[in-house]
Amino acid sequence: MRSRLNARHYTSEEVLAREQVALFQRLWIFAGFRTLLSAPDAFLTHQIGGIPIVVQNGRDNVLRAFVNRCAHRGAPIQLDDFGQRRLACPYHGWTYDDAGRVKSIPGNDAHYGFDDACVAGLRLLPVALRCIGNLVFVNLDKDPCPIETQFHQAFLDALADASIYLDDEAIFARFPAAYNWKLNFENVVDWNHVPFVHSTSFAPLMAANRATALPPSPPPDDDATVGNDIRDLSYTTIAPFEMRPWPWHAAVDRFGEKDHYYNFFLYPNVNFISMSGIIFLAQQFMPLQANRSETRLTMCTARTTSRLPALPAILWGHLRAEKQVIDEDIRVLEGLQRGMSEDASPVIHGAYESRLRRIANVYLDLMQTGA
Amino acid sequence: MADLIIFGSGALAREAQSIARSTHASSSLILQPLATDEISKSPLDVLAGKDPATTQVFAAIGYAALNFARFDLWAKLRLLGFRCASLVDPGAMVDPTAKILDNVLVAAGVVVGADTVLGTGSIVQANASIQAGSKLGKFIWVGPGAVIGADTTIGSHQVIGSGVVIADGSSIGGHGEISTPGLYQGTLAKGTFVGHGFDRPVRMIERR
Repeated sequence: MRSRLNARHYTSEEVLAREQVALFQRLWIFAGFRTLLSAPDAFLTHQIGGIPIVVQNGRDNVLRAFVNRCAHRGAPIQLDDFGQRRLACPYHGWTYDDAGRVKSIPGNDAHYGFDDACVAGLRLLPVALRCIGNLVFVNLDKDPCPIETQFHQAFLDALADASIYLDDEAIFARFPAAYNWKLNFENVVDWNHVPFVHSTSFAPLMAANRATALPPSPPPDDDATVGNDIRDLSYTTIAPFEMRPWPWHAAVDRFGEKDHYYNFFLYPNVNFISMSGIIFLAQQFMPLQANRSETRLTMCTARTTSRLPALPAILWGHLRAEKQVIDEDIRVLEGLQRGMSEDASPVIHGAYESRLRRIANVYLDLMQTGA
Repeated sequence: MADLIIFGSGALAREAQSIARSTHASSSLILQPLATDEISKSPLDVLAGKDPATTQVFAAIGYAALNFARFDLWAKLRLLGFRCASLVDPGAMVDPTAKILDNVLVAAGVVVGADTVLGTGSIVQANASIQAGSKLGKFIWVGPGAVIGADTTIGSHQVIGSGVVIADGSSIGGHGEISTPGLYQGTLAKGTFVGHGFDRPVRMIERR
């Protein structure tokens, strides 16, 4: 069956601009791990739907999200990807309270002349935020949909159960790729590429090369059977996995007891993984341009029960191995993107690719109703 | 006759053995093969019956796991009561005021300036330069030809790759790796990684 998406969906800047509004400014989008924001003034920044976002823990220990633009001239309040710093604009020193209201304007009387009423009306724009376990989601919509309408409750419960095991230290990387962001999500849900693209890296670690989908998904015959419920696009798979034992594994509180590879696919753009409940990583695929994307990768161990001095070395080693696997994907997907042509026929999907057709159906619905 | 037992299986072990032939000519040299992934389970049988008072050891394990593999072996040897030698190639130029701690290897052609400190377990590869006043923490790897500028501090468990130049007065936080050749200046936070296919630095987000 031919895909309902054509090359233009992957190459057009106009399509991307509509996606930013219809998907990224409308859906709940993963922002990061809550465990990395536990201290007062700890923050992370992100760019979602073309909007700069800061997620900041207040001195009242309440996590909030704001558009990361100063109410004065629009400079970013926080510049780094992660850090610990109060809400203060680095440009002219305006400061904000936990709720995002302007707290002080250096030299107001001498330079600005704003009266109290004016200052009281100045604030950072708030953004909706929900935590599912230790996973932080934000929603840029002025009237955000309940997160339960985007994800099945059972899936949210599974995310919460797994993510409570996240440690409070992590390694973070961002790297670009020359292909459309949608290709990456389609790639991670396509288990059938693993033995071909990762034949010597990742595939040998999978005791069975085919993940077992939970719940099972029988191949439908037509688009009507595939359906268009957005909640069906996010799901879990569990597969046997061979994780080499290391002495440090005894120093973490492991999620689950078996050597399994857990995938939690979060539509539209996250692959949350746990390797044997010992290593966790979130891969998030963000659009940069129609033919360019960026992967944000956050990796941590299960929560540690004793101090692990070698933690940076452990995570760096795992990250390098993961990057090797991702580079194998990048090589193929960049070639796929380069070869896209608007006069080519849409790609063809077989029975096992019903999820890709389901993704296309939901995507087209969202684009039609939300842009 | 005193013994010097060098543990390791790779190029570093061979290099250590080569240096020791010159610097420990009066000792009985033993090269004990030991792969990195065998350290935790090896009983180090070769040490059975050896007198720690007359036996020196050297952990010649490379930079695996940010030098923690070498650290693990070093710690094991020290717990057994053995002293770790330091090996300075006769072809290195080391200022007499430099402080070189134990289990340090300084390869041929290395220049070590005045008032420097090479911390325990540090390996400085051929033709690297540690300029005056620089302080290297514990278990550091400085690759061939790398330059550590004057008055620079390098935190423990840092890997500095071949061809990397750290500018004078810089501070490198440790527990990280710089493997992309180039000039690095200023402060690099602990847990920063540059290279290995990442075109921007990778960072540890530490507990706050």
